Amino acid sequence: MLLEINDLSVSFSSIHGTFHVLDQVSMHIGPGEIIGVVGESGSGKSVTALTILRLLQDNASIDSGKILFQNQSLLDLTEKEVQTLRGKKIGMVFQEPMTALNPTMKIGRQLANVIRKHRGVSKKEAAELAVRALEDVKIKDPEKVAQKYPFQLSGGMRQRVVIALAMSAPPQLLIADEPTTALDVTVQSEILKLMKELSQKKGTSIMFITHDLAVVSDFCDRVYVMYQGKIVESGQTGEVLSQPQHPYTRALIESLPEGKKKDEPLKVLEGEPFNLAERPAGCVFFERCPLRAERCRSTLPVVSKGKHHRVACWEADHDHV
Amino acid sequence: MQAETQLTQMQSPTVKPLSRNKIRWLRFKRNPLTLVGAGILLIIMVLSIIAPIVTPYDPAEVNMGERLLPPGASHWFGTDEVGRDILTRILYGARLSLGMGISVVVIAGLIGTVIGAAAGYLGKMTGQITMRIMDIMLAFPPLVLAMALTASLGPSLFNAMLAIVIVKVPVYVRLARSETIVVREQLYVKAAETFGLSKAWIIARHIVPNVITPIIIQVTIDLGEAILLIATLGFLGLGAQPPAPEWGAMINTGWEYFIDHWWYPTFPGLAIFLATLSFNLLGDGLRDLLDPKATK
Amino acid sequence: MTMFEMKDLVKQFDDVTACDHVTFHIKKGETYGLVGESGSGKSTIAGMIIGLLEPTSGSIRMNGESLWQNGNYKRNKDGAIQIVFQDPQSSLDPRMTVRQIITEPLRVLPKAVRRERSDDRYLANLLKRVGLNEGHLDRHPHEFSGGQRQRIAIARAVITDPQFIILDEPTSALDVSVQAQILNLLNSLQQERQLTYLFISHDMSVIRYMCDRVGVLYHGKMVEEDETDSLFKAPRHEYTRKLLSSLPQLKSEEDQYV
Repeated sequence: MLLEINDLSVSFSSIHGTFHVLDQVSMHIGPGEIIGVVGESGSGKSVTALTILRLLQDNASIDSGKILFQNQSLLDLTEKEVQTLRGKKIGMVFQEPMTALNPTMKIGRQLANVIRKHRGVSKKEAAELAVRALEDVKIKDPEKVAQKYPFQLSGGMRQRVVIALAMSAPPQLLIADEPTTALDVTVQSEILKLMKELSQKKGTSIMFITHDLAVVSDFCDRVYVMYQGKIVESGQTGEVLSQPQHPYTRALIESLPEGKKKDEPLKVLEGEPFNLAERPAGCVFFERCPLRAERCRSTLPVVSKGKHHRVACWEADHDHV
Repeated sequence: MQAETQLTQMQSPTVKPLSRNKIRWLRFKRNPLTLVGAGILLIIMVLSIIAPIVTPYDPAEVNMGERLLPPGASHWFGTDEVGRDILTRILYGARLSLGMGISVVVIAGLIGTVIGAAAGYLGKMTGQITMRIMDIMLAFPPLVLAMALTASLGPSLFNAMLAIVIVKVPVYVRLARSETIVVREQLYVKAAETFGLSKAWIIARHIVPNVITPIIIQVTIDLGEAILLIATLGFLGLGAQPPAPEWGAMINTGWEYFIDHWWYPTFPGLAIFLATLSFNLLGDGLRDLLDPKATK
Repeated sequence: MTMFEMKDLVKQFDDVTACDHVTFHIKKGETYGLVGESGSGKSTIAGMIIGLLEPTSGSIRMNGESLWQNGNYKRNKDGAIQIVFQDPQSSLDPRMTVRQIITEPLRVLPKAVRRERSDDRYLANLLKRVGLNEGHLDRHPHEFSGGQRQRIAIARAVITDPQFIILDEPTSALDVSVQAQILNLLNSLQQERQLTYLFISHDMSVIRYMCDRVGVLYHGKMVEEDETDSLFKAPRHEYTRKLLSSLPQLKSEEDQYV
């Protein structure tokens, strides 16, 4: 296993109270695997990524759990050790590419700096490798782009540069948090294709965080569905999306307008998610669940359906689908 | 980046925020210096209001038999050259200094906000012309400009106030305009424009309420300075005229007696120092409190 | 019956032509979709219809009457045209209460109408209709979730009893489960009130679900326009085909990415 997260719980404290944003989250990523983490706002998908990268703010605390990366406990590393890990072994791509780029430095130099740091090559070699890295992310005219500043590029191009930066080591794991959400669909599909190719070529695993089920369906081998800090369902992408077991996953899929006619209203999820400061004892989906029963109020099961398919719902016990 | 993501998390729909005032109170309590500033001001204000009850003396009554007495049991801060109790005069003077100081900055703040919001929201030309005029005014050191204005208007407390208002207005105009330029691009202003509402309505209902917070902070911070300016003009003989118990004017007269009667100018000076310091502490505290960018 | 007619609409910003000779019409009671990527000019067109941007040339007619005459926008004194913006976070004034927000558009209407619709009972019904309740009237926007804020924006848009509403990416900033609620609400309001919509989006699947006819914008030009069904089944323009093929699909079987 490349990465293993076990029973991770994280909370944020602020003047508003203490918010339990992750509740006993467990997931794993094998070498070369692409996994999707799907959820809506407040589901904890981004916090999971930040915890792995050890980028949580001061007001966050890790209440329990372990993160093993290549059998090394990430949460026990010193800040210095984490810094060498980040970028070199774990790359990252976020939604807004400008946050990862230095606006006052030419693209080529930024890349060359990172490459020198990771590989310890000469300045000249690094500059050549930087151009090669731009070529790798399918940038036409890489020599020319290397001489440009980030603001001279389009959003899609910037994200390609960020991917080139993140993949320069190349890392064993790439964490991508909504990397295509701010981009146009045509650009999105190119970027996804690119990431998939790079992953295969360099053997990098990808943890792909998104709100978009359709993208997951196209892109990921396995998927984790999160709701309010909890993984409610996980398994092979095809299986989870075609035979969703958890009522939340089902509701999420049914609420998509895809393939529906205007005169049939979309199925909607009633109510609002609960306040993260007041976690319920039992099922996180209890308040909004159409199938809820008394036992759901106090206990939350994990049911296995098939080899890898796991569902946190009593209902999944019955074979009524 | 991580800050951004975590902020979204914190603001997720599931987080029921505490009321704004509750948060402000919690933050206010955390800063003891703000409380010290607020406390001192409160004491000064209360004492100046109930001065007739606190002291048996009259601030204006001349008593030649008790002139220039050192601080003692019956006159805690001593008396002046015509036998008036200095503590009494300081307390009555607080009404003048604080009252004038507060009205000056509040008036300047209001005028500045309206001009700045209009200059920022209305066309480019209006804004440019207004700002050039303000830039010229800001080019002078405040004290020099205030002195020049009072000297030409004639020395009096009212003219001193007027001069300080004129000196302070450009500061607020500039602040209000720069905030307005941000606010006018907000979608809620665009939305209001689509309803066909007048520009005056949009300025009054959308621009001013959304730019006022930094101005309130600036006003609080400037209160200390305004009190100092009033006192300075009084000290130079350009502001309040004797026998008004204004702190600056008291130092002006007391200064001549300093060598043999140190208490006379010292206590009014301490009063100015204390009031200015308290307003600065309060202003700094308020800035932390009302600053929308501070989330913790 | 045609409600809107845009003819040869051009909007020039310095050296960029944001809208380049666009001609289309919107029929009464239909939902017309404008789809395109960033920089395609869809929001520029919305701005010109709602009166925020003056067209460089061309005309916009509503029920035969020209909306822009000599640089003046004619049609904002009767509340007949309203707009719902993408981001409900910033389209509601944070200093106002819900009551102040939703009654603000009434200010341009006659006093009698204003009084009738600012009435507590009227407002309570309106809030209920959009899925909120009267207890929300005196709260501030920051106390609501994104979906609820968009409901407030919708209440504000329908309070003047408009004939036509521009929906400028109304669900793009929302979670998918919330998006479904808002789309349902928009559809049922349309039926109840015989509303005509201009629905602007970059999301092809939402456009397909919501719209009767669609215009595809690319770099300020309208490259294709058709009934929704035929456009999705048989796209003619190369760019439309590219858009459609880029759209990630929810697949039931595990396909390899191509």
